[in-house]
Amino acid sequence: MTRKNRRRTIRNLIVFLLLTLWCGALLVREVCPELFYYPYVP
Amino acid sequence: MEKQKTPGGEFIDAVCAKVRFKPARQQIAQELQAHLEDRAAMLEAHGVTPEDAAARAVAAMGDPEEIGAVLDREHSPFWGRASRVTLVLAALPLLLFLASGLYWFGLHDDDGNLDTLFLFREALDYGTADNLVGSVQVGEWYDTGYGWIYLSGVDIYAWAHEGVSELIFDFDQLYIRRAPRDRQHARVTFTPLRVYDETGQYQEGWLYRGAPTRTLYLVFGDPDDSIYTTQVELDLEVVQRVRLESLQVLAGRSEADDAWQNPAYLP
Repeated sequence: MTRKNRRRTIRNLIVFLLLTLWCGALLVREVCPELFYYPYVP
Repeated sequence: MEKQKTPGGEFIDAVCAKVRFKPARQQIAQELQAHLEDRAAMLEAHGVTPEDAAARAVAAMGDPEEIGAVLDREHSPFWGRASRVTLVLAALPLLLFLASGLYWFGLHDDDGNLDTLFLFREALDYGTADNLVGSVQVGEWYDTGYGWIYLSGVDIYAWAHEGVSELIFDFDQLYIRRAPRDRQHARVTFTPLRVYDETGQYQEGWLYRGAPTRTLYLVFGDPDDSIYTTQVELDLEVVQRVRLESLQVLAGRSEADDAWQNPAYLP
């Protein structure tokens, strides 16, 4: 059971990190969309 | 409790008392109970009396302290709690993600425009920019009659293509809102602009920055009808960026004409 819980913990942390990164990127894009534009200054 | 009266119940309680992670105790008790019942049933089948069979089944299990210690190691309270806490932790951004999806799809139309823009659709009549504002200074709010408009900055791009020099006006940020004190504002991505040709004539159009494709598009025509639009892909290599601070835009043509005729702004 300890091994199972350890595996679950690691899985949950990975899901948390991925979702946080994804949501954070969405949030940044909403607040500051210029960051995602191509810098078209030659 | 019934099991506390029997020897099996006392044995199970003794084992469970050694397990620190309480949520695991019920499952352990059920397993031990089933195990004891099986063993007692087997002894009864061999002619042992039920009371004697139960006692012998418990005795055959061994030391409850020892079994409890082994099970306690197997059900570590740290990892048990950690898995539960992290599950809640992972569910929070998941909820945020779903909520943002609802927000996103709830506020946008099929073309990806903010619904809030439609409140100002009349004010943002792309085709008749002159009727819209008249004269806009950078850094000031203007009452259009439908809503308020604020222009935070203007970039001018000199563009040379096949011998034709043109100027492209790109509004950095065009904020619109119903009233000056209303904090709600929307950022316009399809910015209205004018492109002047060599003779000083201009066309209404708007600049579309294709962020995913990293391409700059210039679009002319009716924004509401994609059939009657012309899309020009700008060659980024020849686009020169010239920034003019506090330039009058959407004003008459005087300053803009001066700007486009100034050789300093041509590539």
